[in-house]
Amino acid sequence: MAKNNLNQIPGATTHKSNRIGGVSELASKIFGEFILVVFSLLIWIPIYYFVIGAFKERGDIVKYPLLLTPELFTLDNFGAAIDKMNFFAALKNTGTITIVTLVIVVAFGSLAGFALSRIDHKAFRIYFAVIIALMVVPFIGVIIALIKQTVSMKIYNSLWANILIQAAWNLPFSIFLYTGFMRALPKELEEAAYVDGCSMFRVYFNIFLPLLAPVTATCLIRTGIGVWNDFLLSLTVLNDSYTPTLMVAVQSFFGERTSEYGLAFTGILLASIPIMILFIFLQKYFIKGIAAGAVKG
Amino acid sequence: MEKAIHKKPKHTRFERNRLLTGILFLVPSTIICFLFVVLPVLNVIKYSFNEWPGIDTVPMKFVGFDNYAAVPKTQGFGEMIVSTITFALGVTILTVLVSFIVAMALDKRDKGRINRNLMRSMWFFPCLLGHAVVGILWRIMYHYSNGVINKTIVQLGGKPVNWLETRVLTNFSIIVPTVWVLMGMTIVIFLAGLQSIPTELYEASTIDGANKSQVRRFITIPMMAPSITINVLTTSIAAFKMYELPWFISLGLPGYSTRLLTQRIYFFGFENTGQMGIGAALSMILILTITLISLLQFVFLRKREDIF
Amino acid sequence: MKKFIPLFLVLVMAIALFAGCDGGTTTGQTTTGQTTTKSGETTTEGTTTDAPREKVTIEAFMVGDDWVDEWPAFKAKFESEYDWIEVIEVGTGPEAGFLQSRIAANDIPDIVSVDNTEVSYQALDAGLIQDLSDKEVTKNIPQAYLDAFTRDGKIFGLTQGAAFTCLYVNMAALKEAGWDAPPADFEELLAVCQDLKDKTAYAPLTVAGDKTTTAWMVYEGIIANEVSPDWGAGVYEEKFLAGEINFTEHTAATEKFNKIAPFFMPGSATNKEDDVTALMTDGAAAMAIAGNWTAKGLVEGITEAAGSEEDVAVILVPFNDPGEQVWISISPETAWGLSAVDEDDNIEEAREIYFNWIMQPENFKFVQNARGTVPVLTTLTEDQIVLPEPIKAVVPAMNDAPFVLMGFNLWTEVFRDAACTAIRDVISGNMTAENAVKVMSDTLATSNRSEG
Repeated sequence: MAKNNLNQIPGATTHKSNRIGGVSELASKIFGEFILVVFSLLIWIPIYYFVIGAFKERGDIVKYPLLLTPELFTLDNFGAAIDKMNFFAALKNTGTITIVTLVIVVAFGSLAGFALSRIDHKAFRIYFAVIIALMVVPFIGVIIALIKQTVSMKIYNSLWANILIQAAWNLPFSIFLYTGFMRALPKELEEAAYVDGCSMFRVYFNIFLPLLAPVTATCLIRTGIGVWNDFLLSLTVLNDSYTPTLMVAVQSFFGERTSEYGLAFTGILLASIPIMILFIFLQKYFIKGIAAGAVKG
Repeated sequence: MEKAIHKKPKHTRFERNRLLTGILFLVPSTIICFLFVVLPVLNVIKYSFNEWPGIDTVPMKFVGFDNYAAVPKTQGFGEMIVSTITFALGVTILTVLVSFIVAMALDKRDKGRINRNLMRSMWFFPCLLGHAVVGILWRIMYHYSNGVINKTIVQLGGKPVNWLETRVLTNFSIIVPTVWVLMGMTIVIFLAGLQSIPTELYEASTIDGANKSQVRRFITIPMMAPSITINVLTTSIAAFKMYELPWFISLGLPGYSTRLLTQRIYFFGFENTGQMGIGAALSMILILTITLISLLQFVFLRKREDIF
Repeated sequence: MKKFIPLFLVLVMAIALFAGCDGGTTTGQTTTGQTTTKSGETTTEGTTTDAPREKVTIEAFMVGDDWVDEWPAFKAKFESEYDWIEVIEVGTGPEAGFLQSRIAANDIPDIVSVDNTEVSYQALDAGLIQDLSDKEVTKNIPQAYLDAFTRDGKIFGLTQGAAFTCLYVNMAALKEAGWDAPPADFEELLAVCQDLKDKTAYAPLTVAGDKTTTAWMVYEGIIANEVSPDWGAGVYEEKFLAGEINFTEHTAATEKFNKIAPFFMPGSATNKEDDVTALMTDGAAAMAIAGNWTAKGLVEGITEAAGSEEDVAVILVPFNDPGEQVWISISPETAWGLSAVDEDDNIEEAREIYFNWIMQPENFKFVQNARGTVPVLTTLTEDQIVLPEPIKAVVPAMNDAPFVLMGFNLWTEVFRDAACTAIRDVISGNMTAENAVKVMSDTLATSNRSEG
């Protein structure tokens, strides 16, 4: 269902049919495209600026902000930035947190979504309402209490604290997604299986799980971007500079050398590049996933 | 046996089993969410009624609503409220408006236009960046003497602008990057909404002789109501929750004119003020505000949809 | 093919993840003590211990922005002398939040930076920081500096040196404006600024407004030179702590503040210290008010901008009236305290060893040399102290000058926030000094360090 929205592209035929195609029509089309291109390039200036900045010295960034010529090109920033921000340790931490969180969110979220969507009971509907209410709570509001919570559970300053908290704050959304998705699946799907004497878990695992690919993609992408880019939680709960996450590493080393723009840009580039590369190759899924998640909300 | 399932007594036992298994399925997520969402929220409520510096060795002292009463007396409270609302409103309106226009433009897929998938990805791209790095990036761009923006202005013959130390302008300076980073998401959602409008509607309307603006007024916008709802909702909530991005850019200056509620929460909670109670009270204000806004918008915008 | 690339990426990430799992960079840090016994190895040149010791890791929250470049060498030197102790630096990020959340967790780093601030007092009162009274090294530190870190009879930190406020001057710029000597009093300072503005492309003044200590320096110098000649030494601090200073009464100081504010370069209110160094290096600004702890970078930067070190002048900030003696703001530098948290015996021993080690002259000089500050340790020999020439020249004057304590020794965090926001506003032209001092007076009256 979510898929359909994007696979049928009605616009392609829609607007063509009501165009008669005069000269003014063509002119306005060209003008419109021109404006669009100008603005598209304009919003890319910051990205262009920092990406080329990563390959320049500080002085050159200041002098020639938007130029990159072979004479200006240098790779020196990378060595220094990787060293200063402890890049590989940070990458490993961020990667671990993201992957484990995603596993938890998908596994437990789909399980809960299955129960909530397939069982019609008042208590379950109330539970679902509570889950929706939890989605609204702002994270920063409870961060102090969260620290105390991790301390009392003796996981403060560990990756587990970060993972579990991320999972907890992303589960409501994933439950919401999975429930919505599975509610739309026909009842007949599982009935035959129950008749054959399958257990509920078998039904979930064998029949439903394979159907969940589109919604799982949504869940992975939405949660993944959020967890990868998290700053505040890692800053407060995982607050060691020797085991930072990428975002905290960039920030803390930028704090020391504010004026070293080359290093800062390299840091930004390094911290974002894994997700950028993933996006470049999977953009179709990214965009589809995001749209599907929201419109059905 | 097969038929038996549908008989009443067996059915209830089957239902009961299903219910029990269902509850079992909910257990893992319930435990995690309870420990790390529900419990902390309850604790924050508790902190907000106590005087406490945040150290375990110091006992809490119950003070009733004193913390809430102290909140309006904190330095710069009025300005902070104004700036929070300005920020949230500005971000929401600009994001939704800009992305609606862009989505409309990107939705045109007739011949002779530039590759739409490429354009869509271009507009989506900024939202992959973390808020922390976006803050750092834009702070450098806004730098008075070395930033790319002022450099360009000077090269074009203008006078440098003090983006981060001018009242009102700075509010704008923190809104733009926020819109920049949130926009990708809303555009994609709008696009999906536009593409789900049935083609027949447009065809019918053109046959009836509707012109372009009429089509937009009577078909596109009403049909887009669900996407608008969801975008307004998510964007405004995101704006209220925003912390590091505007902070890295403006430090809340000048005065308290760009200081946000979230930043005050962090200040009272983490900057050794010994007034965690006030921080907790501010947190409660934020939580209630966001809840209220979601409810209001939901009710209001849903109603509009019905009207259309 | 396209499809395999993301797959490959995920795979690489996963491998990186598992490959590093034994690296010990994940959890637990010192409290659980990641102890790995090297049973197989035999040490032949072990100097002190007969058997290879259990490896321990201690946390040091002590690396400041201003000497972070020396840290790797510093750490390597220690670890080569004590191969069973690993030191890891923590908390180089936004510091306030770091220590607060650590204290909230009842767990502070083994070596911890302390100041005369509420958070350090909290940590001390909660029993998280040791009393250092019986440590050997206290003998090598002048009594005044010990007193500065004494609370309820307990010494909770050993300071690294003396910090004071200076004016860094690019003399090349001043010469261009027609001045052969740096300004000697406030009138001259204003005149220099005016000339720089009129006759040169330099911005007259800048300051690191992002850091509250440096932002406060601007008004601090003015008020100190206004009230202290009448009040005498020590009174300002006393009144400040008690919350009894009414800044609005000192209209002359307010007036001075109003006069100097327009000369600050735009952006000064949000500059970080590193920005200031960059601005001076670029030759964008002619003078900077800054702490002596950034002396090395600033002097190097101005040298680059002006062409020679001859053209770098460092003076005490001339906020004094003509003919009056100049008052400066001064402070013991951030001190190092020692954790009192119960730990494994090995760790407790390691942190004691490390603490004593860093206070040895041959090790302490790393820190001193990197920053170019005046050291407090009496055991440091002349040749171990490296000071930039211009700083050396100002030290005698600094030693003679009467002083007030820097703001962070006196204020509450609530006052810090309110006052520094107001001062930044005056510097950036968004507020008059009259309004700013009113905010400060009102805040100080309600938020000060007097008991009750």
